[in-house]
Amino acid sequence: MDELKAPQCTDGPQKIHSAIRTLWLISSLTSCAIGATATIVMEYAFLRSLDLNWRIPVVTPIFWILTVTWSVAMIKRRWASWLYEVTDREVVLKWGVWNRVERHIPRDRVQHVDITSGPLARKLGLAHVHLYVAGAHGAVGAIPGLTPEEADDLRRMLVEAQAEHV
Amino acid sequence: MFEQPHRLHPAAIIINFGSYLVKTIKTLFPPIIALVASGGRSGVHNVALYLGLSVAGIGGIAFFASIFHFLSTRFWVESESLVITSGFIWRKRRTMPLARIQNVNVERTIWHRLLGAAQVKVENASGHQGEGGLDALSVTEANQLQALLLHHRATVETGEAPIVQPIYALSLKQVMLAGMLENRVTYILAGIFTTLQFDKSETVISPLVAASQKLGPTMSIVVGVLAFAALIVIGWIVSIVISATRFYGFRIDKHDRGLMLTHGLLTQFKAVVPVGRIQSVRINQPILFRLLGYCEMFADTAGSFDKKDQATANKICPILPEHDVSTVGCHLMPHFEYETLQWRRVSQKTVWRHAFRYFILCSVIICGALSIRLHWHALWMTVPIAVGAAAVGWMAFRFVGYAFTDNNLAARRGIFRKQAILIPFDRIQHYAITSTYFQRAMGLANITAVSASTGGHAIHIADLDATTAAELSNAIGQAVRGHLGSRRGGL
Repeated sequence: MDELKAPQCTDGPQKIHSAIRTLWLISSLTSCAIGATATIVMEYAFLRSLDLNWRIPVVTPIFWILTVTWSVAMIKRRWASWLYEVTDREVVLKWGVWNRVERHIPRDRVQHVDITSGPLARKLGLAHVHLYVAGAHGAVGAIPGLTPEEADDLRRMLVEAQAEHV
Repeated sequence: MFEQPHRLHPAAIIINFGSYLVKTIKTLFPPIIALVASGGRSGVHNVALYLGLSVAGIGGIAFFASIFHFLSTRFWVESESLVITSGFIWRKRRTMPLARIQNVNVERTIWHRLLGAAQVKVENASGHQGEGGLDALSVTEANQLQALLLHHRATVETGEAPIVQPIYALSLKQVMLAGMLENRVTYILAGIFTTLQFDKSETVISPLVAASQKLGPTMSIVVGVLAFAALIVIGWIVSIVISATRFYGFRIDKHDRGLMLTHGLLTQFKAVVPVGRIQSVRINQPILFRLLGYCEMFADTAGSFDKKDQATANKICPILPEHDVSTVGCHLMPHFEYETLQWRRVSQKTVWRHAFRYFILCSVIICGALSIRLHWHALWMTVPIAVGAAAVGWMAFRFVGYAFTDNNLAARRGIFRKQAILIPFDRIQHYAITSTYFQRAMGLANITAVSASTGGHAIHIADLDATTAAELSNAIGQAVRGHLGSRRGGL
């Protein structure tokens, strides 16, 4: 039975899985494509309404090209900034490129843990762990890009801590 | 006592019906006023007829809905849970474990008092509103249910009154002063503009425009200023009347389970705030309060419904002399300290960050607006704006700060409306150290500490030196770890 017991802490700060970069890239490109289509159509309609000779949208395509370039360039740094650690007392999450956050969640405060994975994340072999505490409107900590085994280990670590506390 | 299913008091029919009707009339109030003001313009009578028919239709539906609600609603206590069932077509059964109940309020509006009834509102930590509401019970039943839900079973069974010790009371003069320090002119202006929005035939606006044209520009300005001053006076009087009626007879008593707040002239509130569930205490000082040495005090519990400007359980005291803060506060937290706190300032660089932010914001708004007439000359306005922004930044630096004791973390913020918030370490759910790119460039960071209060009032200390922030984060971590397991109230 001891072999099945999850470790109580992580071995220092942990990086998230590198496959998350593919997921972020696809998500970023998809949302940019949707936004670009909508705004380019709007710009085209606006130019038509002005009755000009020039009717080819320029502003929004340039904006979206810059946005996509920026998002793609930031993905590696975003991934590199992500660290999580479970100590004997708290869960520590660090993330952010421009706005950096280091959040400490005492293990004792965790009310419940969710593991989620969408179709694309499942295809890439990834799962996300969400941590909830009392009084918050949503998850106060969401660790993206773990393997399902890592996610399950993390859940067991925190759930077992809860059970021991009770 | 409540083991068997109980019905509501029959007054629930009239009270529910009245409540639906008042809500409908409130919604339709601006168009009704606009119609009345429009007088006999063509086509308006038809609209009035449709409006009248709509009100009558809604009233009819509301009447039958109230009867059905009364007939279908039952409540009882079983297996340490309050159960409320309601509905004929869509049946609903709500079960609230007594251990999860955060607060139970007994309220008596003027209608309840005329009909000899009282309303019971039950809160748990799951949302922003009262999760269990019983519209009308007899006063005895309401008090017994409140005591039972707050674990006073012995008191209920023996029929003895719970032990109540007076802590603090406000005189009528103080209550009126609380109203005098506020002004509801914005509500009045909003009401006027909403009504004018429905004045499509311009029955009200056109004569006003015509009258102002007759008066000439100077007199129009004078009349406008006088009208605005009159509105401010009216708003002031309205605030005094509202405060006097809402907080009349305000009293805080120490109850077996927490603090009992009693107040109200027309609607009587009797709320018990369970002290063990308090997550944070806030002390607000709007500018007029501060000048006269007063403040307002709030206590956020998990599940408190924080409706601003309404007499809810989390407004502990509407007006309190600064020197009495600890008199009340020591009953809210076991280790309450306020006057003796050693406040520490954040980094002086906050002046420049605030100044830069206010300068950019005000320059864009003011210079942008003036540039329509003044063109490039509008940029001269950036000089006084820069001076003003620097002054505001300095004021922010002077007041913003933080303090901590062995048991509590405190922070204060605000320039004109100042606020201090205290969270016991054993209530902190999570804490974070954050920094934006610009803050890192200046060597600054923020600290945030969050409790389980659903009102969302967290401690946010902005613009600490990065090293101080790291040290404070460690200190909070150690204090939180030191207090784990000492939590009161189950959260």
